[in-house]
Amino acid sequence: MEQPRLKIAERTAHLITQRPRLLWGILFALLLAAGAVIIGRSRLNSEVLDMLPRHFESVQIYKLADREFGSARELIIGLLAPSDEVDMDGFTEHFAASLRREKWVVRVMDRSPLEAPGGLADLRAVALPLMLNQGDDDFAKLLDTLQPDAITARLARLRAKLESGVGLSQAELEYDPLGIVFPALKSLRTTKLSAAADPLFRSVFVHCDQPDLNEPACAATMKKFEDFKKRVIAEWKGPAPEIFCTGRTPYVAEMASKMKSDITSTLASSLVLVALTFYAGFRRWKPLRAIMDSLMLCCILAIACGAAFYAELNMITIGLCAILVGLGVDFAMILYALYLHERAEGKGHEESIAAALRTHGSGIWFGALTTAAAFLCLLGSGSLGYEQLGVLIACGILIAAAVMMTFFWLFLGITLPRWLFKIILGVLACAGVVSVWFIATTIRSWSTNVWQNIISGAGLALLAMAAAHFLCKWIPRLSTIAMSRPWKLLAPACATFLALAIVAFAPIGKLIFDLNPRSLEPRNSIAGRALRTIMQRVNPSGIEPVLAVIRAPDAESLSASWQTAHAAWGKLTAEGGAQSPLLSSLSTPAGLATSPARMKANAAKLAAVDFSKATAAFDAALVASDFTPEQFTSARGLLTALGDAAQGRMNLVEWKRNLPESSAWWFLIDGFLSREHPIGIAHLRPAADIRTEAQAAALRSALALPGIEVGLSGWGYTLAELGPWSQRKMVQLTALMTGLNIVLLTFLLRAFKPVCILMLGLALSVGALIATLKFTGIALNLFNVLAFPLVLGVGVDYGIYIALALRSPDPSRELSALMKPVLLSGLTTVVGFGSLAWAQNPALRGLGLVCGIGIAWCLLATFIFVLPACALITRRKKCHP
Amino acid sequence: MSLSFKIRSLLALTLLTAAAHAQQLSAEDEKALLTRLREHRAQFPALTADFTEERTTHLLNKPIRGTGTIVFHAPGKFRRELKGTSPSLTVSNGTDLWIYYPNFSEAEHYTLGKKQFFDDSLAALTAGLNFHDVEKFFRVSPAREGTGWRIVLTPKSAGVRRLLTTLTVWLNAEAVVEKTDAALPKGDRIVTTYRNVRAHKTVEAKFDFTPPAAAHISTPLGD
Repeated sequence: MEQPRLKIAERTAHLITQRPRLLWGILFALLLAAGAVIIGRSRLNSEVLDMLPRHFESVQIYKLADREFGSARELIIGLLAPSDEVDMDGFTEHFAASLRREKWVVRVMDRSPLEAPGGLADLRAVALPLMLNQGDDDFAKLLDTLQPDAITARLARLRAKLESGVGLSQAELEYDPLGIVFPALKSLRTTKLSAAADPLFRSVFVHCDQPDLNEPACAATMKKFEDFKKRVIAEWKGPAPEIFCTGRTPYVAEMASKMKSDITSTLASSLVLVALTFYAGFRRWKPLRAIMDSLMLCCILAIACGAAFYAELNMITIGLCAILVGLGVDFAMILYALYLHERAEGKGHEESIAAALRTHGSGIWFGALTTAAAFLCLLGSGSLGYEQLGVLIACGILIAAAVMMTFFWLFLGITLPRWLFKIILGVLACAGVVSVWFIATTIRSWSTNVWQNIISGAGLALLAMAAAHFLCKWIPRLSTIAMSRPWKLLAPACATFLALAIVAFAPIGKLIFDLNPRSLEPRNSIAGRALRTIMQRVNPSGIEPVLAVIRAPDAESLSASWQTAHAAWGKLTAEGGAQSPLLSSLSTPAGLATSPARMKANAAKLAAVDFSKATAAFDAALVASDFTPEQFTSARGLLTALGDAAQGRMNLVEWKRNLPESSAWWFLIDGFLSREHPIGIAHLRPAADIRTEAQAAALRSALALPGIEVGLSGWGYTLAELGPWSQRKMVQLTALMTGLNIVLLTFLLRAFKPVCILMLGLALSVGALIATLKFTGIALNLFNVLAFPLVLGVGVDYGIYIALALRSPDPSRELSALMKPVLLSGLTTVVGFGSLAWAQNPALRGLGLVCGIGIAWCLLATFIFVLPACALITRRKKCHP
Repeated sequence: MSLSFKIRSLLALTLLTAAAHAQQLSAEDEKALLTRLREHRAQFPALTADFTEERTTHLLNKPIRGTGTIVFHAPGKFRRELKGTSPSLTVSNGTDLWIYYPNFSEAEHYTLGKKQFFDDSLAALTAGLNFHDVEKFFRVSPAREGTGWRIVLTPKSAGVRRLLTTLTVWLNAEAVVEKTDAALPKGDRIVTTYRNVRAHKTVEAKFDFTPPAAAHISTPLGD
């Protein structure tokens, strides 16, 4: 077994030192291929729903709602006045009128569609199908109302009532002189949505002319809106309200913008922190530059792999670079430390490289394999975003292992010519000057968040440097203690870790699982704040609504399904007579989902009406009561349209096509019905928040309809279902990773006791991690529960190096060379994950924080538990061979 | 001298006379007038009057004229009886409003405080009789006109502006309402002239209404 490994190590060292041109050629070929793949294939998407497990119906329903309903392209705007000095109606009118003039706006709704500009003109297009969709009794009344005598009598009565000066007779004459529109609109009561009662608040809905739902289109829309916001406030004389904007478009635009800032901030902070930690440990620049070059190469190749596997990468994969920097540097440090050790003993360059590869090659490959396996566990998450992250990092870590054993040495050998060095120094100086100028000009506008990041970043950098500086002096001594008096380390370590394990698994403190929808938002989300501000006014109860979707094969079935659903679900409300209501309100498309068959039958019944006589009676009544005929053209047009319907000249299925795109009625229709498919969505408000899986199941059961497939969703409902699932997933993936670790360790170490010690060390580290989470109140959420298998996969690596060193012929020598690089590689991994704590993306932030803490515990456990325990069995083995 | 010049001169003279006739009050006088009106209303919260109304609406070719009586009790109670060929009775006790049409034996019931636009329209209707809190909802610009005053009320909020563009109130020397002119959107207008106006400390009028048993009752705005 030794011979082939020796050969490989020596051959690799020979290739690096003797045939560098070949390696450079391979490198350029790799870079060219990677560049072509990245440019040609990589696209980032910021779909937050891809972070959730896709097999859940509630997640699928959300995606369906985005795709099928117009609300995905809507901006929901809240206008909130600080005091009653603001003319809210006046500002809202000004705001909505200005919006209507914008080219990027298709339609605006700031009041009921009937009162909106053009609302009356569009009323016919909506009222007519609703008239034809009425039940037999109501339609019989409509037929009676259309009789010439009835028309004459009604207009005479309205004229008399108008003379009284009060009441709604004027409104009836303006909107419904025939008396057939308002009864038909009653069916829209099923679509009742809650409105804000706060006089200092107004809501405005805007449908944008957005070509698609992707991030660039959303960002472009929000740019136009922000520009509009400035202009509309500048044009308003007097105090203006605060303007809040939310909806899918603002969320996607904000997440994408924060994603871009996350890419730079996490990668830059990770590189800086790793570099500082390395420098504090080794006090050398040249290897640091070589490591940075290698890490950049790893990132490029890993991204190219990701782009090759997936056509579109989710935003979470941006965390790849920061994690990879933290993990990849480990291999370089382990190898470089031994290389230095060999060189110090007088060996040559090639020989030292070969020694480093020979000694740590297998450890690095197994470390890389366990880490890759840990990240591949994310394939079991069911979330596309996490799957991509897992695959990318698994590829990245294997690439890092290969790069650090080959190209790293190539980069290490580069000595820059003096002129190039001077140029680089000059460029760096210029960059420094530009940075100073940039800081000086923007420092006043830096938000609290930026300052927090700077302060915490500087704190972490100082801490990492101090830890690297002091621990590098102190940690190597541990190997001597461990070899001579292992119980001196083992006894306090066991006591401490056992105490922490008791805290972790006993009912002391509480591990927080945050299932609030806010936990899915980016930090300080503007769209999130706007949503909460608006919801506080529109829905003061704060109860998350539940979305119910019914898909049908055709319009007829859809209509029947929604009639059944509305009738059945209405009984679950207090108004419907429920003793303990499950729903506080419901808003369904039952009134809008028309039945083509019923409409056709009713249209046939219209043949009984003589429309020429009805129109003549209407005209005569107008003259008799001295009405102005031109004010009643809409009603006259309605009579003509009904006449057309009677003769079969109306599209009974696609009646919505008659409505202009600018009509505010579309807000109502698009909010409930898909334009393309027979799909409808209802908005249900439960009597109490859905917080548990049992409550979600109870609601699902109560809303079930025989023969009708109902899909439920909503953030509260979805999280209630996903919470227990994520906890189960955490246990399953942790068990899977534990099994994988056991298999790999058994294969590598081929001894029972070291495997047991390493696994026990990991178990104690996880216990300490849970105890830390309990003490600090750091909450687990849907995203960071997956950190546990990652901690197991990454944390085991340090133990592997220690266990392998203790199995060598001269453990003391091996350990003395290994302690510092293991410590530094652990610290760089911790700071690599820790740098994700600056990410605004909640998935990355949570994952980074929990992984950072977990790996820090693994590192400590390696030094104070695994090392002395393995040393103990090594010593016993020597005593009793 | 051409005819157009004569017309223009006549128009200019009329405007000059009107300007001289209606003298804008200083801020101090305006405040004093409003205080006086409020004190008068506090002293005599009730008012009875006969009225003649001319209503011009874009829905009709010619204006509607009607006469009737009104009993008002601050802040929000009133009983308005319209006589003639299309009689009606409108009664509000501050929380409920009834409109009864005897010719049709129909009654409409509205609950106040539920629909903002309806409350606003009622507030606009009674603004000329009730100067309590008038500055909260209207921009007030009073002017001296003859021995009395002319007060133009312009709604502050766009919500009320949708129902009422301006309301002009003429008061006599005793600060008793003589005439109101409500300019409404779409060119509509209601001019009401009051006669036999009497202020009272209390009034024996029924502000509650029970429709006749045979009347058909409707609730146009819902319950």
